[in-house]
Amino acid sequence: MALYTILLVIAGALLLYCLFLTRVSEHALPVYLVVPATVILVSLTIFPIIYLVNLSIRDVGIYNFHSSWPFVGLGNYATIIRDPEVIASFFRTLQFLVASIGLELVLGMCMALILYQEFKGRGAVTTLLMLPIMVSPILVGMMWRYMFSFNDGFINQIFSALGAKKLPWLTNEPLPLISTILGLGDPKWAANTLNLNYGLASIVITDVWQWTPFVALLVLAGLNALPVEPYEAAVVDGASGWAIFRHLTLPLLRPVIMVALLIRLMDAMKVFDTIWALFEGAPFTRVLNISLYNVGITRKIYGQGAALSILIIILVTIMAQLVIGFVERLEKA
Amino acid sequence: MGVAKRGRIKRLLLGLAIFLMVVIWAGPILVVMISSFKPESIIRRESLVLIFRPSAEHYHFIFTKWPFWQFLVNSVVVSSLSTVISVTVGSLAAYSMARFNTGGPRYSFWVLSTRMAPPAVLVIPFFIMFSKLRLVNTWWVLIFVYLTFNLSFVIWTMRSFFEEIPEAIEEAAMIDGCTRLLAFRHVVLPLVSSGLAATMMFTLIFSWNEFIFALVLSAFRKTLPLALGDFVTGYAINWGPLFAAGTFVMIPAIIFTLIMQRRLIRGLTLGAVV
Repeated sequence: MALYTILLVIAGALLLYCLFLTRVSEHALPVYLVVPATVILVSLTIFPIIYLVNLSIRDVGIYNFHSSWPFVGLGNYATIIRDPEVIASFFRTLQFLVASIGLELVLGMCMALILYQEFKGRGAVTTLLMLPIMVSPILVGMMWRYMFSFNDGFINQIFSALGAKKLPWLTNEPLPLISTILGLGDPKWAANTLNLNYGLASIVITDVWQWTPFVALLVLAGLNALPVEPYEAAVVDGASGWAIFRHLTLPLLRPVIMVALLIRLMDAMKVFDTIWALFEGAPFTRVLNISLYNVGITRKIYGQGAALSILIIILVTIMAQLVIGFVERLEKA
Repeated sequence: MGVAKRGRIKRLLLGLAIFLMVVIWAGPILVVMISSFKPESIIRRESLVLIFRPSAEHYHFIFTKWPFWQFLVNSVVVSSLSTVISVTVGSLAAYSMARFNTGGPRYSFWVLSTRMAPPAVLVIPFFIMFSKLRLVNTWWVLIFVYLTFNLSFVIWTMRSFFEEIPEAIEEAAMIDGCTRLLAFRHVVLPLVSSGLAATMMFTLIFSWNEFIFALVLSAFRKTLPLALGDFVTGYAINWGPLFAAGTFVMIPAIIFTLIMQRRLIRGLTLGAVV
């Protein structure tokens, strides 16, 4: 059946390849070792991107998919960057990145400093805190959809058990106080145009829940690798705990914090599953990836979706270049 | 006396902070697992119920009235075969890059760059390409597509493991008459076996957890994470069975975290932090 065919084909191909490797000369071996990986990666990344470029300059959608695809030049790009929904999702993505990564770094550092202290059962606590990292993001989203659910959700049930008011998580209701504090006037306007609503807050909380332990683990590794001598000197000089942290630990941890920031930046750009699980693409929660899904898969306007894909790839490439440049500079220093 | 008191307050605050952290980060996972045993009548209730008689009705439901086993088979087949391919092909490439510096730094950065773009950007070309090849909704498509993130992951982590092994060990074996390939098979591979096992477990979990490619390319041959959406309907969400199925989705990840512990960080940073 299907399973046997698959097993046979894959096992056969891998075996044939290994057999082939035993026949090639020692000289050519290094190249032949990377050939299959390169072929697979090219066909899964380079080829689709070329295909995307071709799609993005044509008017193609489900309506004319089986007939001819007229050439429209940069028309799709012009349409997509003027699309108010895409513009809104671009700014929402930036807000999501800043808010969640900022919180993850601060909370992750606090978590690491606590786990760095000596206490009974430290190993067990550390392991418990790491559990969220590897849980499927789609399940994390569903889990928090339950936690945030208005009537039967866990958080609101605790709130009402404590006599507090239930909060409208997962909606575009304005966050309390925030627009007053920032002096923005109408909270409704701030909720709808500046995303200062419970919906985005719920997304940020979910992401922070999953990834703070990861940042903490990184910072903890950095803390464990700190040299001892400067601390002895500082204690001899009579520096206070806060001064030691501010002027010694923090500067020494800077490379690790930068690595955490950069890894989180590239990863948070990929966000899709959690937001999808929480809202299934509700318009007021769309980030770039979800807008892309909406244009390309739900509405099946492949040309415009491809244009948006290319724009996202360009954006990510620019970010990655900055990241790589930064890491190289860090390694030199 | 003052110092002792301050010390005690400090311990108390530390204890409180640890307690809060455990509640916040382990709590929701526990809530899902415990709630999967809550009877339907209690899940529907709007007030908090902490004590109840556990019931296996949701597990009974997903095993008998929902194609759980079929989804499980799909998940297992796809993630294990994708892992086998990526680990085999990837470690060979990684070995070549670690020992002979094949392709130089440019090649390895290119491999790394393939995993930087969000998977969402590949969804449109994948959907059209694999529709044309008539591979949508088969096991093939996900096995192949999951290599996008698995292969580059294996190459980068295995490369750092191979680099730790001194070349002299292989050279000694080769002087004794081994070919390079035999030295790789009988000398190098046993030395990296623990790293290889860890890498394999990572790729298994990554494929097990994957959602967006399965959503677009395999909507009629669902993997377990995708099938969780079955319980979300327009009217209401069936929390009970969702938690029961969710517990199964979670179990591999939790076992994995318990096994890996501190080594988690090396995998997740592709060997950047050891």
